[in-house]
Amino acid sequence: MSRFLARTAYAPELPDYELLPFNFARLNEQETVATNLAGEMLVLPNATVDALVNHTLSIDDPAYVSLRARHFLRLPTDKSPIDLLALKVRTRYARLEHFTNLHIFVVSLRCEHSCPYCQVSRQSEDRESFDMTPEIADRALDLVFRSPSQSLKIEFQGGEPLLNFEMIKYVVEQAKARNLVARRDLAFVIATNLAPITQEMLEFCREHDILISTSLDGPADLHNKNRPRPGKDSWERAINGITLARQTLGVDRVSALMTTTQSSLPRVKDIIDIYLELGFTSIFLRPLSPYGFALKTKSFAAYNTDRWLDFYKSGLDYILEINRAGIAFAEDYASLILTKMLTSNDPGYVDLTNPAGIAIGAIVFNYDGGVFASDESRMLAEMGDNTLRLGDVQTSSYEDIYLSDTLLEALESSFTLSVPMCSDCAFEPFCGADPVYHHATMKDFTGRKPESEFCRRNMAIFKHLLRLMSSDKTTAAIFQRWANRC
Amino acid sequence: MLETCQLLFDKACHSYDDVQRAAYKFIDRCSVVVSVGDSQIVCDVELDEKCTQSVDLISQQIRKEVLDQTLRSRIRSETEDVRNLILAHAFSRTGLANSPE
Repeated sequence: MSRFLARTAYAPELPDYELLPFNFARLNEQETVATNLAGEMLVLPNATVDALVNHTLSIDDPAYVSLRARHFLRLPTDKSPIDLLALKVRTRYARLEHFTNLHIFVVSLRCEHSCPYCQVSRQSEDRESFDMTPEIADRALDLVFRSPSQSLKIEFQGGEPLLNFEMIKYVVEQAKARNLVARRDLAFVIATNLAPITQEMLEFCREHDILISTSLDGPADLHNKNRPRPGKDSWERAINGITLARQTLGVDRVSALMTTTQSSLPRVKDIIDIYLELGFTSIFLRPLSPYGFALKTKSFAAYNTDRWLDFYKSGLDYILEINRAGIAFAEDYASLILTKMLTSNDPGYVDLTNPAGIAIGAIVFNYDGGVFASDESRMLAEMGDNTLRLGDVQTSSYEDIYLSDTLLEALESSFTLSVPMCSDCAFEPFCGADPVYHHATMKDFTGRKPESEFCRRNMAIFKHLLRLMSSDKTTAAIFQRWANRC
Repeated sequence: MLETCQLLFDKACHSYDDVQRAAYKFIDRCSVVVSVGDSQIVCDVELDEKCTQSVDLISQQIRKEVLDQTLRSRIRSETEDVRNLILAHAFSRTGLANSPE
């Protein structure tokens, strides 16, 4: 018999621990991911989770300290875990009390492009009946300034919003005039294909500190195939526009978004290379959404979730390779998720919020005065589904819009903490409700999650990110940087 | 002819709710009728025509999921008070929670 006793022999007599609320999901035959109410996460051996729930976990277990530190268990004498968890939960939902921040003004439905995947039905360039009028803009601004949010962002969309630049100028000037009294943190963004941009427009953007967000689908041949316009020069115009906008506004005032079409699938490296060559520090690898022209032209059905996930994972591998070679470059969707996984911040990305971000995070004022719960909601309306049209700026009050039965029903019935499968999903803190997607695909705000492509795509990405993070320390360090970019 | 199987769960070990939650996760591959007998909860499983998995594999996965759901319900019930306390505490100063009349 040994003269020496084990460490446990010297441990004080501890009472049995109590569990704190958490969910778990099996990652594979060996590992489980567990998350608590605040979204704090641990990857544990399967046996540890079983022992934890059965109250047989030993204080000597390597996971015991982490489980106690991250509030998965507490001793009856511990007082602070409840207060700390409450504080962290409050931080996680802090954005809710600010209410609507993003206000989208569709200043024109006209567009000179005819992209088959376009998510809004566009009209030919010369039909001014599809432009927003000053009366509608004034009434929409009344509603913007009713938001209690200290930060107000106005984003101009289309169609191509630059085709009605006079209305952009009007809204910016009127909003700034109102803000002399309201004193909010006002910001402006123009989402544009940059084809009609002029130096005069850019001077106005500089004067009013307006950000530019443009579309860039990859190399010239792919971009021009995805985004046809008269002259077949969409890419050339976008590149010239990016260069000009950067010269006038500054490099960090111009961002770009890509959309994945069937033609993009074999070319993820080419797409990323173009973003690198142009000096962007990140790329957002985005799938097509089941709305608007993407459905009408069958672009959305051209590839399935598995094929898109292959594309996404190859892209992520390539981006990690670039980072390992010493170039800082991020993938934006992964960054959003990692921010939620690894920090206490919630970036508030509308697809990944609960309650859903419709209306209470972002709202849309259409060119004709229609008010929509989200950009996707107005895309549905262009297809004839007006379910999420919340009112009209000319006839509806703020209360009519934000207390409408349709909006409240969509928010309540998609609330993930009470949705079948979401409510006990370990990935719930990182995911979102997205009632509009489920309404569009299943005619049901809640959605049957076992059959939901939204659920399947996001679950696959969450698990993939966890796998990558645990596979090597360099990747984990890169992901930490992405999560703490802001 | 669609493939079917019957799974039995001891009522003393599992609740109807746990079995139903587990079955729900498989509705993209099969339909499941959950009923309660004297001492057992009965799952009648019928694979969808499009299902590519074998009935044995689905049965195995449902059994494992029922075990996980049983653990989850233990966590839920043991942490109910503290969960409500934390959420009430978290929202106590936001103005979003209902104040007592």
